[in-house]
Amino acid sequence: MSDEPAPECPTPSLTDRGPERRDRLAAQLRRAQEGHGEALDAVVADLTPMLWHAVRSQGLGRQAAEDVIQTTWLSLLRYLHTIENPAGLIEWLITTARREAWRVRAASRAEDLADDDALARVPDPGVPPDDLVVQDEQGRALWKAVARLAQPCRDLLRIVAFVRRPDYDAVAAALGMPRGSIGPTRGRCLTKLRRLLAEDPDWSRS
Amino acid sequence: MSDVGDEEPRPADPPMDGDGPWSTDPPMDGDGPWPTDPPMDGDGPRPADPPTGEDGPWPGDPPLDAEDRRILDGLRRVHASADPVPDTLLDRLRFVLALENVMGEVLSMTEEIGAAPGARGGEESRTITFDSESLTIMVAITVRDDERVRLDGWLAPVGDHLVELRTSRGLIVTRADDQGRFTLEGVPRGLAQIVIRQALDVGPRGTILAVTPSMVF
Repeated sequence: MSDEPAPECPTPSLTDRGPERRDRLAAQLRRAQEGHGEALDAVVADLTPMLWHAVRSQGLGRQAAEDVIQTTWLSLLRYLHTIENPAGLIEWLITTARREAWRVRAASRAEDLADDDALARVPDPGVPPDDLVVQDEQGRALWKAVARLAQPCRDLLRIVAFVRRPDYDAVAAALGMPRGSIGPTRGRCLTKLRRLLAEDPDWSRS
Repeated sequence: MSDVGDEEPRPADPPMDGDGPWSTDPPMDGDGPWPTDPPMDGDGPRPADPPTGEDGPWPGDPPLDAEDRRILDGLRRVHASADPVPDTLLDRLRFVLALENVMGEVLSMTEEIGAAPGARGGEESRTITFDSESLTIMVAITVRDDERVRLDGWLAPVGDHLVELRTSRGLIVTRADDQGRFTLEGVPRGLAQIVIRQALDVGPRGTILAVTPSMVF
């Protein structure tokens, strides 16, 4: 629709104008439920980056992750009318994608394709800091610091970076964490990360 | 309604294999209403969306200061750069989601053997397997030339199945034979998606029984 904001916004800032973006998502969800294809496309464009990182941090290869995300959105078509709000949508998507990812990995394992790309375990961060195509010193400093965090903190911060605060509980539910626990866990992980970053002149020089 | 019913098979929950950050937390509640069941009517623990914005007070959630925001924005940037969402993914999603009501099953791509998509070569062929709890489809793709491929498929269990291949240049339809086999010639290269419908001898198109994610020929 011409009166809708453009959906394309690959890496929007989630800490700025969060409420507006979220209201927009709620409106787009309603329109998608009424059968407007372009509204569904906008919802897909908005939430796929979050889903991508949630699936990839489970260790799926890129091709397998694409397939899992396609399957997840396709499955949603059948349940779209049961979704009540953006938080419900996010919980449904992450839960379904994680189950599908698990299913695909289990099937691949059963086929004994351990070396197949679908199974290639990509550690996170999988790219050495020096090879990273991050444009600036701060990005590299951040990447190096993240690499020194324990895996649970890395995984959590990776997803949280793509999630709005009002949706933390939906993500917690999908990840099997208690509601209300993501904020404090994020706080602890950020504290550790800040401690590491404080030692790096490339980070503080700004 | 589909005859698949509401009891969509639920794959086993991922095991909490100890390397997750929350291995000591309660496992996911396998009997919960998610993701396949409709939500409960208002009696669930689903809170209304908080009215406050990002900056509002969140109970139990430590406030974010400017440095935290800088870090979170930076994290999003480095992850988007180190592991970008494939450019083609949104196009593929738009393609596969442009269907009428999908009340059938969604098949998962569980196996792919052969040359990578996009590879060129006279003898190129590959086989893809799609699975759901109630249906399996195997397709062998043979490259004819730079523009066309041939599909030899087999689906089980056998039934009155119409096989529709959605391609970027339109629909190609055939009917699976009494052994579940089907062949599609002259398939344009590019994105494609298989839709299985109930085959009806007369009247409108049958309901969708199953769909696959997209493939690239």
